[in-house]
Amino acid sequence: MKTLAWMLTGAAILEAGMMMALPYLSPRQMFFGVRAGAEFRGSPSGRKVLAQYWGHVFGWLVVALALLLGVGGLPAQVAGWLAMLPIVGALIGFVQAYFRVRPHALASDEVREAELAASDSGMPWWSWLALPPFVGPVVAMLYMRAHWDEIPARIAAHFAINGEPDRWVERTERTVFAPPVVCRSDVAAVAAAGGGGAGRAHDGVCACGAGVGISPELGPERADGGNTGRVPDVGRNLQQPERSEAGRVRVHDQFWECVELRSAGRVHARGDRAGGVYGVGDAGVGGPRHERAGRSARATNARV
Amino acid sequence: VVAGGPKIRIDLSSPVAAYRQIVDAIRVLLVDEAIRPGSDLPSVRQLAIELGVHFNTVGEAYRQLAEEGWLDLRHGRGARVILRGAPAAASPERLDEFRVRMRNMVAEMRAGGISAAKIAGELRALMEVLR
Repeated sequence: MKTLAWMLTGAAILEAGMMMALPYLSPRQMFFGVRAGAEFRGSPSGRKVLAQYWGHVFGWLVVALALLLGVGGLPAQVAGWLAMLPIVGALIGFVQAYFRVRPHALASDEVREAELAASDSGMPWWSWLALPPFVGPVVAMLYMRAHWDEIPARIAAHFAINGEPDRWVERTERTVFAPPVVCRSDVAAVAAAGGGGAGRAHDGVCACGAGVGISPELGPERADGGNTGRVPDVGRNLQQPERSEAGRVRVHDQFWECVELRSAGRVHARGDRAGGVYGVGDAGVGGPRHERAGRSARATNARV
Repeated sequence: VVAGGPKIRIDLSSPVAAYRQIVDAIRVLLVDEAIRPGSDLPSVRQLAIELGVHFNTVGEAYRQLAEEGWLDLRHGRGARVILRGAPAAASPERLDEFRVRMRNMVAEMRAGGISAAKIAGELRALMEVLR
């Protein structure tokens, strides 16, 4: 039991260290899951939030160690849960830090600027230290695969409060390999929270400079084909223009509330929602998300 | 980390698509030789995060610049500016396309209250910069 306590102590310290490093394991723009800008984490406010988070994790680590080492005779299962306290504390601290950083989030300005110089990903060189918790279970799984015959046919699947197994399962790939995967899913979730969200909230508005949402696809091709005018390479489902004159075309009978017509990866026409008059050629609007190359064209709702 | 590189700016409220704004901004820097062959551009992911746009938007912009012969896109190495050979003379259709776009822009400027002389001056100044 004493050996187990020391092992769990080491695990708790490792977990606490990893959780303390978590705020750095995200692009510099992100801090506790908030897009606060690269400079924020070095600012007094940023350092204060970080110090509070570290203090939080450290406090939970101290509690975990005190209980692990100070209280004798703890059941193995309880001791195991105690070793997880730093992670639990870090999760709570992360959420608290998120709400502290959120008021400092960069406003979603319409005008955005970026430096056009290659740099690293914003991850510190010691990011690799975060790998062992993920690599470890994989190594364990490989080891178990290599020593499959040495694994008992029945495996303890659950332990009672007194530490004695009270449920058993047969040795199958699922029962053997699922626990290592599940046991690190918590860390993966936290890592995703720290580094994820980089492109959050922008998907709806940024792929197309003017667009919000996607309107229904354009109608079927006219039987008579119409006068395609100067619109080249129109996809099969793009409604044909009724006529063209001096570089402008009118779309047959329906005035789509759209600013662009695309097909085969190109913008073929644009217009306003009032008149349904469309300029042709490379109109310079729209974004790649509205493409279905070679098969259809889509209209993008105008934001007016 | 390389700091102090040229910057690009996009306006998401503009009717011009974000990816096209990125293409245009980078192309200006390339033509102006503010970015020279051999330089590495930020990764798609990095630039998308900086600008707060979808990865595909930046990816599309890079692909277009690569098609124009400005960039070399290789998986795992990012985007590198390459020495671009002299472009072939624009076809009449392409020239016509440029003419339409320029005419639309000039018309928009005139509609916005800018005099013809001012527009001509702006174009001349622009040509001096991009020559």
